[in-house]
Amino acid sequence: MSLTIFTRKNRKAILILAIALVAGAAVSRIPFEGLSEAGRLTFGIFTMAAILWVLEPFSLYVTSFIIVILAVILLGRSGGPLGLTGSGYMIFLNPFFSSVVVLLLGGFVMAQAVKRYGIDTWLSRKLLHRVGSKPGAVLLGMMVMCAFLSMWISNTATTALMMAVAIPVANTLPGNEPFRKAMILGIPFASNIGGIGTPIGSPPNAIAMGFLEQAGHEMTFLGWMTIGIPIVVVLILVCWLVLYTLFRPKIDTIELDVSEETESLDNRSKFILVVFLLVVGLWLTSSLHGIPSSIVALIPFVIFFGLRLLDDDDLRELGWGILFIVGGGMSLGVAMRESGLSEWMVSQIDFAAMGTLGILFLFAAVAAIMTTFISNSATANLLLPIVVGIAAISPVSSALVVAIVSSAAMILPVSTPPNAIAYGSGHIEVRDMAKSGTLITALSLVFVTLVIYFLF
Amino acid sequence: MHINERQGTERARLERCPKCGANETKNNVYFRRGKKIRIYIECAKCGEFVSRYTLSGYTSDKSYESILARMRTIRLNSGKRTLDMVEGFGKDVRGEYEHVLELIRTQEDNRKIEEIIEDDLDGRTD
Repeated sequence: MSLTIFTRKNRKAILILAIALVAGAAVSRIPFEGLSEAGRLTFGIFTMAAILWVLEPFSLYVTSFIIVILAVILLGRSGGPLGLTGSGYMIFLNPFFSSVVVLLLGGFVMAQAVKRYGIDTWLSRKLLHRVGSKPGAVLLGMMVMCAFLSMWISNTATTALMMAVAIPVANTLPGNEPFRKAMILGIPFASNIGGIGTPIGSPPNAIAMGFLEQAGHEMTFLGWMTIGIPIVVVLILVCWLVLYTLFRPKIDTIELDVSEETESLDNRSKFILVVFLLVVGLWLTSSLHGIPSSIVALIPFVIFFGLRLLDDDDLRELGWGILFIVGGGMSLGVAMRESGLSEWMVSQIDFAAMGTLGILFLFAAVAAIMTTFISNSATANLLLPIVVGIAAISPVSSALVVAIVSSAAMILPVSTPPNAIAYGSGHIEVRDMAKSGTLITALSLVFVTLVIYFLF
Repeated sequence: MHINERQGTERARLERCPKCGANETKNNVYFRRGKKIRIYIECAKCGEFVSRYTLSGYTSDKSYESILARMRTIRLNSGKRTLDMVEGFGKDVRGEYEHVLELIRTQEDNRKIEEIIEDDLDGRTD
């Protein structure tokens, strides 16, 4: 609770904002050879956004709107360096209601309904009591459940739900039982990985689809899942193997406190499940019926709010901040493309000499390092406008590598919200997460890069 | 924030039974799938209905379990902010609890709760 404006936190935020603006202004004054005035100004905005997204003096979505304000004032005003007139500046606002933002919004609505009516809890209980009592099977069962849920609901909500199942079990294990750490780490790791599976599973996926769409390469929901699901399956198995090997159980059996007799779903919950399956079905068959995925995404919005299954409180909880982060990143991408900054940036490195595999590995490594310390959406927002402009490789492959690796890096508690939640349980130390997370991140990076390389 | 900075902008009071004036109450918690949790406050002395609260967040003495419940209702994108929330959650709640008890001891607001909500909070309850 804060009742004054200039608190210590806010003073720090204003100072960082000032530093970011000064740094941006300084960069925009450097006379880079071959870069237009619009490009230099955009480089300044990019620099400022990078500082703010890395240091996070305030919520990430605030930076999104600072980008829009500066882009319109510096580039998009009538008579500005981009030569836009009248409502031409709307190119910076349009991304906030672009098709991928609407797609995410629909995903958020469905996730909200699933959560509110307890369908996620019901499903997890229904399936988890079948995993038996062998430690390896219990861990794998929990991880598969996490991965599946996080394809459709947020990775954070999935982690919170499953941690509530894991913590009571972990508390009953002996103090020196290493497998407790495997159970606690398996949940956030599997949630991070599961988010890769669908376009709505994690914001970087939607951001990648948005940038590809801007570059004229449309990727369908089914197209994403065809690549995403096999990667999720392999990474879950790799992750399970790493955790099982590093934290091998001393105990022979483990019991999850999940009752076999779960309460059955009521009619409203069943209806929501039917709508959910219908919408997913329409998403997967968009090439047959021709209805864009973003328009399909509006169907659950109309049905759930229209029939009062969701209300104004649910509307407030929809994760607007994430939608604004995606919109802001794509707005920055528009500025970089229109000003020629993307093209200029990629022209500064001889990517052709590196070969396709070399380029993919380079950006996978950069994405992994960045997202270890900053938000995966911020990583995607900063890297994707650059990588989709590299002429030496397919934009689809570079965008997929950056988006997927952004979700697969999980070394520190600050790397992702699920990691932070698991760390907060007190059952693991940073070195436990770093040891297993580094191995999984490295294996994921190599695997994802090679898969994308051979696919495209 | 220092307590002095809050003075004049915050209120606290014990809820009392409108019938007998007792401040001993019982919380009857009502759960229904798909609906917000509601708490019906009953006078522990005379059994009269005192008030009803609609729950938007819940924190128990087991703060980690409470934060898990909270995390299911919000969408977060930053590991840093999530970690701040997780680490600060229990401490913030405990600290504010102590502060509220102190306020009630030293400067309890004697108006009815609905008057405080209407007059000082413009009808906002959350």
